[in-house]
Amino acid sequence: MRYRIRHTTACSYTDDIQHAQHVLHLNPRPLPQQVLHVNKIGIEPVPETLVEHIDYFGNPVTYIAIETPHRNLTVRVDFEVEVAPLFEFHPAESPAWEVIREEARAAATPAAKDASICVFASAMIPPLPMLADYAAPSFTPGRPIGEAAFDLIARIHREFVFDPVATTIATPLAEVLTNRRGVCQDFAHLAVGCLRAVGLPARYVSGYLRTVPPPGQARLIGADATHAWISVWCGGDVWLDLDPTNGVRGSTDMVTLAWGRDYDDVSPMRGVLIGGGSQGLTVEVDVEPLDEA
Amino acid sequence: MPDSFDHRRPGGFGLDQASLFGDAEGLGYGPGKKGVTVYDEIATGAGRLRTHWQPLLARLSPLDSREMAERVEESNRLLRQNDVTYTIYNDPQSTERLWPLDVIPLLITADEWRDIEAGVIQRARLIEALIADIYGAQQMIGEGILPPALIEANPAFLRACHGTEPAGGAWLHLSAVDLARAPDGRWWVLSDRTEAPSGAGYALENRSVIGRVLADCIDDRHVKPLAPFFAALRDGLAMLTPEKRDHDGRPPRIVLLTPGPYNETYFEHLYLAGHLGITLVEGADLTVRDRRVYIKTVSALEPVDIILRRVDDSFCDPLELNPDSALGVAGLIEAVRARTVTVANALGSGVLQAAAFKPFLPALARRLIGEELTLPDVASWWCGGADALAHVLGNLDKLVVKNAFPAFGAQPVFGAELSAKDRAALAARIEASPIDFVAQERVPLSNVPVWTNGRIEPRPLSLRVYVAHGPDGFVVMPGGLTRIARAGGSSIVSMQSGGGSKDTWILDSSETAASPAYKPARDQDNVIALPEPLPRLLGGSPNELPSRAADGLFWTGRYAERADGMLRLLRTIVTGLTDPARGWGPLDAEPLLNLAAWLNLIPWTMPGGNPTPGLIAEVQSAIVDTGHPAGVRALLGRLAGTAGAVRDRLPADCWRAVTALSRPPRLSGFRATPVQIILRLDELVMLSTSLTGSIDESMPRNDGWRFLEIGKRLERAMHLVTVLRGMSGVAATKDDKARRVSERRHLNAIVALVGTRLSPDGQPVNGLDRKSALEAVLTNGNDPRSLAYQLSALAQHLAALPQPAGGTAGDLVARTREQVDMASALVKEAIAAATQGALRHKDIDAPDGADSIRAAFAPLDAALPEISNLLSQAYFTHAFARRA
Repeated sequence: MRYRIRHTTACSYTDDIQHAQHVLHLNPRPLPQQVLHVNKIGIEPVPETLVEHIDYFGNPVTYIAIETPHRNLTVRVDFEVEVAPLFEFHPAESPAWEVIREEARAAATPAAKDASICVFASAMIPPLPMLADYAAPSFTPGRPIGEAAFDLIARIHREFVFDPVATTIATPLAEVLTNRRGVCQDFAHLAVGCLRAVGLPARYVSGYLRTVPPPGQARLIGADATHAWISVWCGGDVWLDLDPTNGVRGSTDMVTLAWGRDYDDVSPMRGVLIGGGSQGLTVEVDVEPLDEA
Repeated sequence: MPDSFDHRRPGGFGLDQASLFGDAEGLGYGPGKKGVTVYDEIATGAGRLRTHWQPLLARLSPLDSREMAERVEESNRLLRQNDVTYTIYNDPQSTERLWPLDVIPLLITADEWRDIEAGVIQRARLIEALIADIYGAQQMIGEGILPPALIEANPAFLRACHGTEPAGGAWLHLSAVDLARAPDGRWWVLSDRTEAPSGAGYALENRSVIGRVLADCIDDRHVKPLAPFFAALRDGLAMLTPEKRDHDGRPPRIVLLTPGPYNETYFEHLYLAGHLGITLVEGADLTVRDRRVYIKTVSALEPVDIILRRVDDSFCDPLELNPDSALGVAGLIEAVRARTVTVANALGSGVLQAAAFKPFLPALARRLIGEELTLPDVASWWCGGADALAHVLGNLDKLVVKNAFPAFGAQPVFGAELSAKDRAALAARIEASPIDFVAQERVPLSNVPVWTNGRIEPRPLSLRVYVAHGPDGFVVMPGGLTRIARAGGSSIVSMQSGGGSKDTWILDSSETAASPAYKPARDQDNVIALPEPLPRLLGGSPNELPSRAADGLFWTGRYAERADGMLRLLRTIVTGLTDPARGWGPLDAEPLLNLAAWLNLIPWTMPGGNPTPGLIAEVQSAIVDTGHPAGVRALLGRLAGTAGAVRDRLPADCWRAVTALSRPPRLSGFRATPVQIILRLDELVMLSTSLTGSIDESMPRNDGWRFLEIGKRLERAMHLVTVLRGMSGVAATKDDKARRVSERRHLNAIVALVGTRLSPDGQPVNGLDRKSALEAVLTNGNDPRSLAYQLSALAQHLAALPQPAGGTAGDLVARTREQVDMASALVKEAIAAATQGALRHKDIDAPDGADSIRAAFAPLDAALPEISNLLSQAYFTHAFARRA
């Protein structure tokens, strides 16, 4: 699948911002199955400083500093990306989850060491006992990891209500688990937390999801949104993408932006401002399939 | 799904300073049960005094309690005089305490010290190599020597710093090791302080005090001086300038970054910055532009090359680290990445403070530096390994259990002291999350004598030894900070839990050998080298004024002046009402009471006339109640807080007056009688006068002084307008005679209040000619009390301030000046208008007198505060950032 993705973030302030610095996770991560063809980032006002580096998790990061007084800041990302189908993966033939857990614990191979980056608790995903309790029914002895992890995210999809007003990004995971409501970030944090609770390395992935309009209706431009899902280590170089919000496996419908231990590692834009008063924010995302008739 | 930019973390905010005091993870050792043998620093097992202590003890006469008491008194007086304090968190009684320093130093022989020194340097080399690997290739993990959890589960590992390369490969510019002496006489490492260790400044101050108090006791041996260590620290910093410095041939600018006056060791930051001759800054003083760090001074942004920081790792950059931190510098890590600044210690170096590393250090030393560690670690087991976990669970009753990774407020747990039930609970906690625990062998601390309760008593000690990155490599401070437990047999040595400190003397062996006998005292200054501040050789002028400091000085000036006005108002009221010699009629006080009410000092409903018990109680409350929101205590507290943040820029006497002002009244004997209140007010007015006097007499006439003066002049102008406008309550009567009487009272009151400034004792209330007093208040540009004088002084100071180069700040400065000119014009108009009324008449009590004055000055109510607002915007506000 080839997509053109446009992601516009517009901030407005009630007073002049004298100086702003932002760290952006808005450039898509290059991956073997994901090839970038065109990639533009446009920022208004034009930053005095714009530099890129690769973060600890391998994601591209953009640092910008704006010294022009401004009341509006717009960041437009526009790129075309080719997403190839994922590798063959048969959940029933994957190793038992305990095997993966022990490999991760021993950290004897380079792949296992790499995976251990995301096996421990992180700021937004604390080691709550209730996570292990929730995970337990899916992780029966000897169950192949692909099946067990899919069962977990399918349960989250079944048992939790998607509710955009129930949580903010600051809502603690324990509350999400108690109230059984939230959005994709919450469900991704929950799934990652459950996997770590049983000793399995799991990543939080941010990206885009192709949306299919209702039958007979045209695709609405800009109506899409960023999405979040997870990736669980299945040994060696195999990471399995799973989307707990929709209860599905990763596919060419998904375009990866960045991954980390939790949202905090990959939040699209964080900044420190001088001046400004109160602030407004609008985000528009458009995921346009290019190779459809 | 919705995108959110609200980055609050669920974890919340916790102050986690690399503590000198809250040594939860460091020092869980003690003599434990009775019958356990400990090493005694001063006596051998056979009860003989160790040789190297004999000369000192012979001179010190520890058995002469009167002489010892004198020395203790001298020591305390020196500490108090130098304002050597520290803060105990969560202590409602006081924020700052006098630094506890025992007069008997810890003595260590040169031979023994050589081993410690070599061991500490070896350790610094190992730790620096290990930190470089952790933030670089991570080969130690790749080779299986270090489990990934030690980094990945370590909250002190800063992923944002991975890949950064500090100048010269130096991660540790000033680090420390806590040592303890085991019963066999060997020194063991308790913990490593790799982030921003505190105490080096206190060690220096201890030497400064004890060197004087015991000047007569050390004539027969040399004590190694500390000053060269600090010179090496600074010169080493100056050499490790960032690779991509933009220098133009100027010398490097070094600053000391402090979390601010609320930090427990703020004294030390002041002292170290002063001693090293570098500028003390807070995070708000610095800004990152074009990937470089600058200091925001009132004149310009000046580049900063090296930051010696006392802010913890995670608080250093709200952009990439803890977003809730108000102590750091947004963009600092980006500047580090760009190699335009050296941060000392390098950001992320706190990762090695985790106790979890201990069991791996011997293998890491062999691999990274090819050596065996000469200073051993206390035997430790990290429960993340299966064998270690089994050992710990099987020996819980003999071990000390600690957090594997630093956690605020965590205390070591002594397995032996737990009940069987509690021990089982601890085992369950360990098993649930083994990677988070470390267990260590319990080693009893050695004892050293302290002077307490009029005699010497043994106390357990630990020794913090400092190592700096000097120009030629690592250098160890010959001495250190000796800390002693509060009680004999105590398990915890920590300043926060009430322990004390000692000076630490490394004895020069050549001298010892050469002169075993007593020698006559030489010139005392040659005997022990007292620390002299280093000359200010580096970039940045001593007058460099950060915007935040300018703001602090401005408000110090305003609060000091406000307090002075308030104290004089209260004193005038109480004196006038209670001193029969003043001859005040009952209604004479009414305008002043109204003014006091207008300032929210007392309720409006207080009747004039006789000093009723109710009024005296209200005045007392305004003076002594901390809960009185507009009262004297609240204002003096604000003064102390504001002045405290800039006390490095105030004359020492000035700061002493501020602390004396803000100290609570001695409780005993303070009864709510008029006499007691007057005495207290006299005391406060005297302190306030000494505060003003020390500013006038000892403060250099630099930009900082100007900002303080601007605050003072502006506040005084505002106070005068308040006095003129605030004394309302003219009898609303058509009766011309009654109205004239009321007017007379008001003008009398104004004169009484302002007139107190004419004479130091506040006497000439009636003797003063009212018209000339009013003229002095308003028009006389040569009289420092007049409104006209305040405004012309303001204009002069503003003209002398540095002019920001163009842009918003430049515009604001121009607008501030215009505002002062406008206010000056208003004052002239008001005076003219008032003259139409009161001053025109030979009889100042003409009916339209007070009213016309009040009306004439109304426009200044708004004009003067606007000067303050504009000034803030021009010079101060760009200092404050917020999170997006």
